Amino acid sequence: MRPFRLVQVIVSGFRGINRRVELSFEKPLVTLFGGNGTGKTSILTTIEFGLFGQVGYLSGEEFQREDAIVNMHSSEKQARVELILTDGEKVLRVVRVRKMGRRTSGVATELTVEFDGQMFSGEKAQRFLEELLGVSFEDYVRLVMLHQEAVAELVSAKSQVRGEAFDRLLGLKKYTDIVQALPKSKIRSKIKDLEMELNRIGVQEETRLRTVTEQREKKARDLLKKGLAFGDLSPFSAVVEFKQIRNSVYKLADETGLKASEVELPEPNARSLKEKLEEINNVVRQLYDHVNKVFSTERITNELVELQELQNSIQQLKEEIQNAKKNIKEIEGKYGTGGQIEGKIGQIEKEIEELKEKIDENEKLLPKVRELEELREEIVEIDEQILKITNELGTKDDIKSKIEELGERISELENEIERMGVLAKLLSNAVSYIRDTLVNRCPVCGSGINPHEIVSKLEREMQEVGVMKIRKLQHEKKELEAALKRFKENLETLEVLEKKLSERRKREKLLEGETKGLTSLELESKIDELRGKLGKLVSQKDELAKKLRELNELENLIEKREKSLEDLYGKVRDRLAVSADYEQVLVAKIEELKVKSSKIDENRTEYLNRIRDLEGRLNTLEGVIEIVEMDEKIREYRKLMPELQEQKEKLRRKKDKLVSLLKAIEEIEEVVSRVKMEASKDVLEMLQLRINEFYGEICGHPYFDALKIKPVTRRGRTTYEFKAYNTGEKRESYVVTRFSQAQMNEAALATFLALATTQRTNLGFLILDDPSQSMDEKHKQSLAKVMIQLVKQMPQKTIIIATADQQFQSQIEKETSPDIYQKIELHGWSKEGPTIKISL
Amino acid sequence: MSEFPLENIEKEIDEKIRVELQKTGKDCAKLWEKILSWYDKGGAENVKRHLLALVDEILMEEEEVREG
Repeated sequence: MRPFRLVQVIVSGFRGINRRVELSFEKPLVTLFGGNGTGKTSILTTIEFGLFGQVGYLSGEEFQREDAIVNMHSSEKQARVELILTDGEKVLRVVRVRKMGRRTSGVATELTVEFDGQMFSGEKAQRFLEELLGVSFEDYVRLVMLHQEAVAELVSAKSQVRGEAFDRLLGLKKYTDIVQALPKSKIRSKIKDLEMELNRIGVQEETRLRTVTEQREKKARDLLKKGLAFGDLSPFSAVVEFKQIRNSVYKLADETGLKASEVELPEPNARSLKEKLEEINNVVRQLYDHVNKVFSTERITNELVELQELQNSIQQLKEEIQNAKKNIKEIEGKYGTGGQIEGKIGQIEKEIEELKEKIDENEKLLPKVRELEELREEIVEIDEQILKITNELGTKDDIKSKIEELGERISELENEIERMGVLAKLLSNAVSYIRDTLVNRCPVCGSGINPHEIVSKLEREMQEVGVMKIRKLQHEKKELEAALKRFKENLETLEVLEKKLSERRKREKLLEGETKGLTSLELESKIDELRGKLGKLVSQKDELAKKLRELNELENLIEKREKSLEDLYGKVRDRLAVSADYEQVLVAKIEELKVKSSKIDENRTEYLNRIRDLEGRLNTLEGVIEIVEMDEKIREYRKLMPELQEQKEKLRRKKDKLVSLLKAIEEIEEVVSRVKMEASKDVLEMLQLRINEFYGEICGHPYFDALKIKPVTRRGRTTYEFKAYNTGEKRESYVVTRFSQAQMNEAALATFLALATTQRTNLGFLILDDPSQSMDEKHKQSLAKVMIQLVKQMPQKTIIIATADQQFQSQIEKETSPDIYQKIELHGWSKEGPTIKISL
Repeated sequence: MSEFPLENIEKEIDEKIRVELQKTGKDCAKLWEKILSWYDKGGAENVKRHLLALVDEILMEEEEVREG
C-alpha cells in the first residue's frame, strides 16, 4: 500500500477561518507563506483536527474557559473540516464537524469517513481511520507535524521536560506514563498503616493482660499488708464485709437520729459491688454531715465568746479606773490638790510680773549708760585735738596776735610793691623819651650826656626794679598769706572744738545724775540674772499647769469609765436576769457553758471516730472490689485473646497481598524502565547517522560536527543527554550550555527530520511549522536545500511548510522549480478569515 | 531513503516486557496485561484508577468476609 497524500482541505468556522476555504495540495513541496497572524497555523491544524478531532498544544486552564476550536464569528456556530486524501488509487474522504461549546476539549465531534465505497461514522470511523493510516494522534504530532513548541521542548534546559519530549518523539511516552501512573507510594503508605495496626493490636494483646495482672498483684499485696487474708479478696467475701459495714452504719444512724436511706446488698460482681459501695458511701457522708450538724458547739461557743468578752470588758474598765485613781494620788502627793496647784500658779504669775517690770526698767537705763560711755570717749578725743593745735600754734590769744602781725606785714609789702611799680613806670617813660629825642644834655642838670649810655643804664635799673625786686616782694607776700590762712583756719577749728567740748560736758553731767554711776557691763549682767529667774518661774508655772490638766483629765476618765461599767453591768443584768453580784454570776455562767461545750465535743468526737473507722473499712472494701474488677478483666482478656489473634491474621493477609502487589508493580516498573531504556538506545543508535547527516547539512557547526543523544536515569526518571560532539578531538558539550537559540533549533530540527524520515506511516505528508526561526541567511539557504533534497528522496510524500520568513521563502523559490513547488500566499486576515492567493 | 514500520517498535517493546515479566512470575505478567488493557482504554489515568481500586478491593476484602 502506498501512503495517503493530502490532496485537498475544505474548511469553515475553524479557529481563525470563518468563511469556507478550499486548498489543493498539488505539488510535492508546498509553502504557506504569510505574515504573523494571517492564519498559517490555523490551516495546518485543520489537518490534525480533521484526522483526530484534537489540536495539540491547545491545553491549559484558559482553554477550558472558552472554545478555541470553533471560530467566534461563525454564523453556523460550528467548525467543519473536510480532508481529501489519496494513495494514488483510492480516495479517502474525511469530514469532521464540531458544534460550538463552552470549552476547547471534551466537546464531541461528528466524524464521517468514506473509503472504497464504504462509509463509517462515530467511533467506528475513528478506529477505521487510524488503522488505515497507521498513526495515532500521538504518532502524528511526533512524526508528521513538527510544532514550534515541540522544538522548544526538545532543547529545554529542564531535564524532565526534555525527557518527556524525547520519549514522545521516540514513541516511548506510553511507557513513561504507565510507570508514573503506578501508585507505589500509596500502596507503601497502606502497608505502613497495616503494620502500625498490627503492632498496635500486638501491643494491646500482650501488654494489657500483663499490666492488669501486675496491678492486681500490687493491689493484693497492699491489702494483705493491711491484715486481709487471701480468702477476703473474693467477690463473696466482699459481699459479707459489705453487709457488716452496712449494719454498723445503720446502728450509728439510729444512735445519732439520722433516717438513713435503704441500701440493698450487692451481687457478687464488680459492677454491682461498685454501685452499692457508692450508695453506702453516700449514706456515710450524710451521717458525717448529720453528726457535725447535731453535735455542733457553735451556738454555745458563740455565747461563751460573748460572755467572755463582757467579762474582759468589765475587768478592763475596772483596771483603768484603778490606775487613774492611783495617778491622781501620786500627783496630789507631789504637787498638792487641784486648788493648791491653782494657788501656786497665781503666786508665780505675780512674781513673774514683778520681774518683768525690773527687767524693763534696766533695759530702759541701758541706752543712757551706753551714751554716757560714748560721750566720755568723745570728750577725751576733743581734748586731744585742742591740745595738738595749742602745742603747735600756741594759745588762742597767741594765734590772734600772730594773725594781726601777719596782716600788717602783708599790707607793707603791698605798699612796697606798688612803689616799685611806679618807679619802673618812670624809668620806662625816661628811656622812651631819651630814645625818642636823643638829647645830649640832661634836662634836670643840663650837663652833657650820652643818650645811649643813659638808655642802657636806665634799662638795667628797670630790669633790677621791675623784675628782681617786685618778684621778690610778691613771693614773700604769697608765703605770708598762706601762713595767715593756716592760722585763721586753726583758730576757727579751735573755736568749734571748744564749743563741742562745752556741750558734751554739759550732757555728761546730766547723764551722770541719771545712771547712778552704773556701767553698761554691770547693767547687762543684772538684766541677764533677772531673765534667768523669770525663765525658772515660767517653767514652774507650766509644769504646775500641766499637772492640773492631768488631774482634770484623770477625773473625767474615771467618770466616763464608771458610766461604761454601769452599762456593762446593765447588760449582764439583762442577759443573765440577775439584779446583784453581776461579776460572780457571769463567771459561774461562763464555767457552766465550758463544761457543756466540752461534753458535746466528746460525743461528736466519738461518733466521728466511728465514722472514720467505717470509712477505713469502706476504703479497704473498695480495694477488694478493685481486685474483683481486675480479676474479671483478666478473665475477659483471656477470653478475647483468640479474637485478637484472628484480627491480626486478617491484617497480615491484607498486608501480604499489598506487599505482593507492590512487588509486582516494582518488578513491572523495573522491567518497563529497563526495556524502554534499551529501546530508546536502539532507536537513537539507529537514528544517529541520519541525525548527524541532517545536522551537518542544516547547521554546519564550525567545531561540533555531530550530535549525541543518550538516555540516562536521574533520580529514578529517564531523561536524555543532548550533546554536541567533536569527532576528531572526541570532545563533547551539552547543547543547551554551548549553542545559540538558532543552533539549538537546528539540532532539534535535525532530530525530528531523522525520525520523521525513518519511521514509516501510511500518511504521505510531512508538516513543518516555522522551521527557520532564529536562523541567519546562510542557514536558511541550507535548510531550503535540505527540504528540496527531501522532496527528491521521498517522492511518495508531500512536504508542507508554514513560514513568515521572506528570506527562507525566497531561498525555496530560488532552489526549486514550478514542477515540484507550490506556493500558497496569505496576504492578510479579517473576521471572515485569511486572504489567500495560490500560485503554481 | 529507507524506512521501517512504526508499529513494529511498540510491538517489539511490549513483547520484550512480556517475556521479561513472565520470567519473574505469572502474577507480574498477568498484571502487566491488565495494565496494557487499561492504558489502551483510557490512558495512564485509567491505569492509576484501576490500580487504586485494586488496593481498595484488597483492603475491603477481609471486612466483607467478616460482615458475611
